[in-house]
Amino acid sequence: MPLTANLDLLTPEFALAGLAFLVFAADLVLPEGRKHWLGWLSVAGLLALIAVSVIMLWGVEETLYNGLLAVDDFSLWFKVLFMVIGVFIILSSMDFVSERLEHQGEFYGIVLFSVLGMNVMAQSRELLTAYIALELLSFSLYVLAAYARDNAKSNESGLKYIIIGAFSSAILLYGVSMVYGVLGVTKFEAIAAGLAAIPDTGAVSPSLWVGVALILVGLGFKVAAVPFHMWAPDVYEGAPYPITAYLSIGSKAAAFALVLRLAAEGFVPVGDRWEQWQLILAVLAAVTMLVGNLVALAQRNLKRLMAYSSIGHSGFILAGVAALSLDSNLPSNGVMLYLVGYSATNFVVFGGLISFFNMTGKEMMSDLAGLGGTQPFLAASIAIGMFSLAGLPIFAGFAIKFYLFTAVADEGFLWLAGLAVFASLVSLYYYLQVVRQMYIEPAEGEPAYGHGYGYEHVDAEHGEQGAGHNESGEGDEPAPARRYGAAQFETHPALGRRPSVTVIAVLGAGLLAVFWIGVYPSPLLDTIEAASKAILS
Amino acid sequence: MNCVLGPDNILYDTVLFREVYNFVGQVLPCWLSWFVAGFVIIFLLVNAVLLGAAAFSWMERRLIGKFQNRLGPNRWGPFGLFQPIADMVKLLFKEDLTPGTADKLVFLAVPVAMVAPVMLMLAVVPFAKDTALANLNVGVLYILAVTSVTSIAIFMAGWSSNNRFALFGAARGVAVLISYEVPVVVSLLGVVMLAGSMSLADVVSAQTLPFIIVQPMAFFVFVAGTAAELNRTPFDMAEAESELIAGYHTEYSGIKFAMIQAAEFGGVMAASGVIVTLFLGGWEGPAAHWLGWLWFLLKTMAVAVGFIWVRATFPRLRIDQLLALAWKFLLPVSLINLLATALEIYFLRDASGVLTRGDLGIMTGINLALMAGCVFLFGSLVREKVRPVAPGLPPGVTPVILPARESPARDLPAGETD
Amino acid sequence: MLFQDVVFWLLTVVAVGSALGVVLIRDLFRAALLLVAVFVAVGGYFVLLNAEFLAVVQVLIYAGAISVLIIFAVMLTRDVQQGNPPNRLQIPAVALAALLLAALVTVAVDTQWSFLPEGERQSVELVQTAAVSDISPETLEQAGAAGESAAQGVGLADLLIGRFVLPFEAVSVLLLAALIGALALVRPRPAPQDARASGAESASESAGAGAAGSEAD
Repeated sequence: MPLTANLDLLTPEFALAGLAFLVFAADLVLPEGRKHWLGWLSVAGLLALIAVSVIMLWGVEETLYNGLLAVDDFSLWFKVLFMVIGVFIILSSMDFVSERLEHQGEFYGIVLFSVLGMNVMAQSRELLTAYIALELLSFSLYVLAAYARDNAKSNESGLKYIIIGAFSSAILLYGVSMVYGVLGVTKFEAIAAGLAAIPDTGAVSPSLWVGVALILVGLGFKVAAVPFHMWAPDVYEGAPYPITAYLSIGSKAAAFALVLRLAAEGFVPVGDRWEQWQLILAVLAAVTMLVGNLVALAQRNLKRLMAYSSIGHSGFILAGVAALSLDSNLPSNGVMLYLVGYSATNFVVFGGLISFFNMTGKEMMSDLAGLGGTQPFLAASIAIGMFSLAGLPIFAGFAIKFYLFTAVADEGFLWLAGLAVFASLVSLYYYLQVVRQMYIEPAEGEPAYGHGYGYEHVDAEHGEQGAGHNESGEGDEPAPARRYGAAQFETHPALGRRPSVTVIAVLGAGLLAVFWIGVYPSPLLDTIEAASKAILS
Repeated sequence: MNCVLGPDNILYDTVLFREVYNFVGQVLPCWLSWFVAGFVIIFLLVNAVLLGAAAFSWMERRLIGKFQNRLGPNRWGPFGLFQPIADMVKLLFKEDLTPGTADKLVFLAVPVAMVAPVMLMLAVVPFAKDTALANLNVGVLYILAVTSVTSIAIFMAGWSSNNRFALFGAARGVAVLISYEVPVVVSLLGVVMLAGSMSLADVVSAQTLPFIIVQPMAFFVFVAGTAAELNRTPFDMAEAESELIAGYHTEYSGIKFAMIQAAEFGGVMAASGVIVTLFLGGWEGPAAHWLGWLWFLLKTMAVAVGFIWVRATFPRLRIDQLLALAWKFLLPVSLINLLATALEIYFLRDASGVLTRGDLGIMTGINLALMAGCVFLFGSLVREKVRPVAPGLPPGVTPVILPARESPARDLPAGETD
Repeated sequence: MLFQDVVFWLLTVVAVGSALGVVLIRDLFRAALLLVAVFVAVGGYFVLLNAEFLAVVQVLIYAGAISVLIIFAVMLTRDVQQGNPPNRLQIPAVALAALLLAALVTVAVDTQWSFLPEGERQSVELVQTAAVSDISPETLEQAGAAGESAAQGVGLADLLIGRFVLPFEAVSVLLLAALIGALALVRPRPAPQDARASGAESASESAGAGAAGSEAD
């Protein structure tokens, strides 16, 4: 078969790379004030690519380059997820980028490159391809984490991320080389065949096990599973806010896409050997969810809180990975559903937090005090996101946790499911802490019951802003509540502003998704089922 | 004793080694034959470098003298031919100083590290048909690899001397080296594609038409890059004597200095040999079977004279001009050349992938036209960028004191443009 | 064969000795130089394994390019000769490293490499697997020594531009992303349209080339 036979199946990838080039090129000609068009260009391009991918690749089941890449429902599903994530990240970073960062064109272009890396990751069925795609994603993220050049914390974040990232890549590569050294193959299915052949030949090959373990460790770094999680809080804290969101949604989802495919195609078919590894993975998952959620209790910085929260959620997802088996699609369905629900929820939470940060430049939990009064929409969104993260019913969090934990318990890991429920309960505490800050705590330096001090000032300012912007045609909406957060108006007049249209779009879409997944996930589950079938067959 | 080197040995491909080994092995024990054969090769290499260096130093001084309308060395031997020997004797007997604060070990290792790559480079150059010391199948890459080690030697010299000027020289030298390595590598890709092999012998035999006319852009880029990597004058930032005393080898004297000089002069000869092999048809010429070595030597001399001529003609560039030339002119040109060559090969080759002489002729025409276009286009672009900074501010700009961050450290005095 | 053995042990002494030196010597610059020696020795191993292409690439990339970057970074570091300040975790770190080394050596020794029958090895053959582990006349004869060494470079190229062309292309995108990212991180703020900035721009213009040069490597 000639190598170029199915090349058209990669159209979305080529087009995505082309889109990134287009953004870089457009950056050269656009004047300084119009740079935010690049964001819109990227968003439009991604949306078009989502449509193209779905139309072109729906139901296609092919492999390319001798099985290096798979174009199947699984990769299509993740591709769409990643591009949606890309759209959301770009939308929620537009205000941030134009206000606080330099080199906007490069920012969006590199985000697009990272989405490309994620897409290839979800498609690759071979260790080297997967590794290079992973590096494409990682290098983009190293750059993005350090993107706020004048901020020492951002620099620290980028440096720590690149050092830990290089370290984990080295571990991963060492594992790959050992597996290759023993088996002479790097394709997932061939690895499975090789592993299965071992009992027959009776060969002693500790290198193989060490290699597989090293691969898992390397990927463990990427998903921030617990013994390998120490980079996450610092990196999350220092990175520019939208990139923090991206790290916790995109890079995690991509790493789990790779883990899922590797486990489902490379390890699960091995049989009894996989059962031993399941236990190791289960312990890893248990430790991860416990440590993540318990340490999160002590966090006061919102970004660090979200970092530990995301570590905890990694633990939940890892539990699903540990429960993978040939008999049932439920665990892999659960993992994918969890990734969607978690992403949607995080869009909401981070959308709100980024908007808050844009207005105030603050990122401590205590700074949120009184937000329920000053920015009811933001506060409500964040609160709903927090409820969903904690797993309360009618929000996405409940549905995804319910589905995943049931699947885990079904596969015989009842203890793990129980532990996960316990960890979720623990997490409820710190998520509700955030909600409490917004709605119950008075703003700093202000008596619990406000007296309208500073209200007129804010109102004037607000009217002015509204007239100047006039984004939605209603500059004179009811004044913010009198009771809370008056002091915040004093220090952060921007809090009186309405959230920009991109923020409202992100939050609105995210909230819709959160409710939809929480109430009626079955259409989504149908697509997930198809994706699961593609890797577990 | 009858030692014969079988084809299972990795040194089998090294024709000279095999011949010497088999010959000596008739009388000597096998293990001794190893050493004898090895020493013969090393002896040849060392002397090739040293003789080449001596010859080149004489040639350079004589020719520079002619260019500058003066005599040059003419006292010692006919035409001053023994001058290199006199120089060597002088340097041997000079006091060998080592600065008190130097990193002595590294300082001592530098001359060795400088000479070694030059010798290694000569090891794969075919002086005539089947006369390379080692016919590596990755010869072109090998040459790039061993020359790239030179930058470390320069670094070592600059650092271990514990001298500010030496360090400046080293930093500049390495900046130049790694900048020019990129276009050089890319330009060689065209040659490799045409020859369909990375072995230097294959490259020579593929030159039914010398690659200098088939690949004019690659030739230009490669020669410019080589000149930069050799620290030859238009690009000799690392030892710019008017700015840095003598650059990275400021502190060297006596025999160490002699070795560094030998490495530089020998390097020019070796590089000329490589250029001849890659672009000028190597040993090819009338009666190449018997006179191949002569053609090779003559061509090498011609290229070396070319280097001297360039040195005598062009003033030294400023470091930023130098780097701009590499990144903004040589690299794009070499990329265009690569693209054009790939397309031409794709369309011109026949079913078995062979390029005839006629094909090469067509490529020559296209590439020459492309080169003219590129030089015209990039020439105007680069001239715009490389214009020296005027001492005053541009017209219409009110003078302000720039914050430190916005004015990048410039370790070179402005207006040093000769 | 005796000669190969001698060379192997020589290379090993150089490689291990230099590697130890890299870790133990306080002077960072010398440590970096010893690292170069390690790289070159590893290149020597490749030569012994008849993988000349990899050997040359090893020297070209590691000794020629990466170590230069390392040394550049060392030169920009303060107090090079003092090395790193000692810290409390040195002894545990040594213990851990020793443990890891012991584990890896055990694993490597105990493993029965390549036990799968030839047919099942859907081998990538990036390094020719047949002739790597043991250069005995038989294996070379099996592999057809002359043809093998000639085909080596070609085989690798065919793989890279053939079956592995997609990762190969992805690498180019990766490098581009890294390049652009590095530039975006270090390039000064694009100048706004006022007098002060245009002065700054023209002053930094000439040095910009130098920055770009060192950056792109």
